[in-house]
Amino acid sequence: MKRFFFWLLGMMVGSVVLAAPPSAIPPSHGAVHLWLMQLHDVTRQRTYEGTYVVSAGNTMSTSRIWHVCNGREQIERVDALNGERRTTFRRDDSVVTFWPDSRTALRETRESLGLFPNLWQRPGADIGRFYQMQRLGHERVAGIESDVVQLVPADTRRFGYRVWTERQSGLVLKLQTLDINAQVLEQAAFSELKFNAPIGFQQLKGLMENTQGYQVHSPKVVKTTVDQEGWMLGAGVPGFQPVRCYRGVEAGVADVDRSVQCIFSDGLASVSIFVEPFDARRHVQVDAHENLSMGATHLRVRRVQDWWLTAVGEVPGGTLTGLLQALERKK
Amino acid sequence: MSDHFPLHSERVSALMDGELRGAEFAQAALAAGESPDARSDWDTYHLIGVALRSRTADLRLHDPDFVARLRDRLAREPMRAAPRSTPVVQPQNPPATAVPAANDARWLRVVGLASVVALAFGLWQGWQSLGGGAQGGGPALAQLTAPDLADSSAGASVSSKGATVMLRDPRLDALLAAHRQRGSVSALQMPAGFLRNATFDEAGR
Repeated sequence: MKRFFFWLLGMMVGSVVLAAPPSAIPPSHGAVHLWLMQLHDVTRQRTYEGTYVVSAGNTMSTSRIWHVCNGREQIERVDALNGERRTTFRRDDSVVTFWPDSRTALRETRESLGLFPNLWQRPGADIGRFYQMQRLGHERVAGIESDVVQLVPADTRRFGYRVWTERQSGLVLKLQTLDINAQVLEQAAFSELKFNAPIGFQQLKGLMENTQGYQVHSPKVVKTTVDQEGWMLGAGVPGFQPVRCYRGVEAGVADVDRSVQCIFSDGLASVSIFVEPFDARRHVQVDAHENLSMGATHLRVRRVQDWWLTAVGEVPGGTLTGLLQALERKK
Repeated sequence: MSDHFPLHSERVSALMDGELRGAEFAQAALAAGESPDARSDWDTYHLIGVALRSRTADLRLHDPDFVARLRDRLAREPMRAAPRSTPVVQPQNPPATAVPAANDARWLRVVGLASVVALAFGLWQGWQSLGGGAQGGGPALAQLTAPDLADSSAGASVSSKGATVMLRDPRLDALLAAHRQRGSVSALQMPAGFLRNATFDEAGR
């Protein structure tokens, strides 16, 4: 049965590829970079409303999305339709998340949202060197004609991506993360999408700013570096550059507050390495289950002397291990 | 036969509220264990209690077949007595009306054993899912995945030495949430990554 399933999947993928033979674009910084720039810019041009579905591992989550831009700024509302009620607002890189049931809100600035494209213009951050772009043809997603592009990884240290973009504007309608055998690990897509939704920028802004009746938290983090925290970074994994380090991650558990979070990225995939003091009571359980994964997200741990390192990211487990091995405590 | 059969809903309610004492308690507890109707009432009242205390609407009755299979499996597990050397502090004159509490040592042993059995089921199931078991074998046991765990977004499938189990750990939840909030640095982040992360059901935040 399992073989038949893979055979069927292979045939389906194969039929897409055969219907529109891939026209490989030479791996160059320019092609991939220009295409990514287009994806990035389109969110500043279109106003839309839709239903978004994410499936990873054995979970599937759905949300309702409103996206408005006024040409200069963009604002977005995401209502999670699974689990505890949750509404997330984003105005450029400012994010406020509301949990109506517990009357709590989290206000934060996500620097990562504003990093592209500046970050990838640094030396060594060459997406085109590690991903080859192939155009697979056209498909319909949520009733909208789209172009299909596959980003094929140059090695087994990173996953591939298949991206469906609206033909007219380039808006991403569907995104699949593929393992090294091009099997789908997780996917996210609009199941329904309407452009020019009748909702105003000021209307969403007012909702985002109205935290009356909510207990508002703001995570207190300070920027730091690997070196400042007493660590050395070795060769690591090709393409994965250190991006940022934060200390004092507040993520809901008191013990996590002391940890340091260092972020690495090759431009498309990202990895967080958390460094915290080793605690035999808490860490032994994770040690026993050394290989965790959910969809494309993998997790690896490593003990270094009195420290406990946890690597989390949308990359193969070997990449996490490589990055963990690259971190050594300074003498 | 006993005056207390069948066990009426009122007495199940009284049993649940801890209002019965002595022989009344013993008879009601025995009847509740033997009568499917009483057990159904027991489950319904507990569900009502959970619904009143809960902030979310995602409630369901437990699967009676699952409980029956677990009970059967527990009954077949060898029960080890506590080592004699372990000092057990007990009141010299326990009051006659003492109500069995959740932290009773015997109950704790049963709970401990139940969690070991549940973990064993999880490991067994993971082994099966990875193709380690005979094809199509043990359909009854294969249904023993707890639905709450399978639904948990923060649960991760753990592969270790050929086994896969669902793990739910608040600390890992927090790290995963921190990674999604701050660690998702990608050129695909702005068009799709943010929506993906905001859509994910981050239970346990």
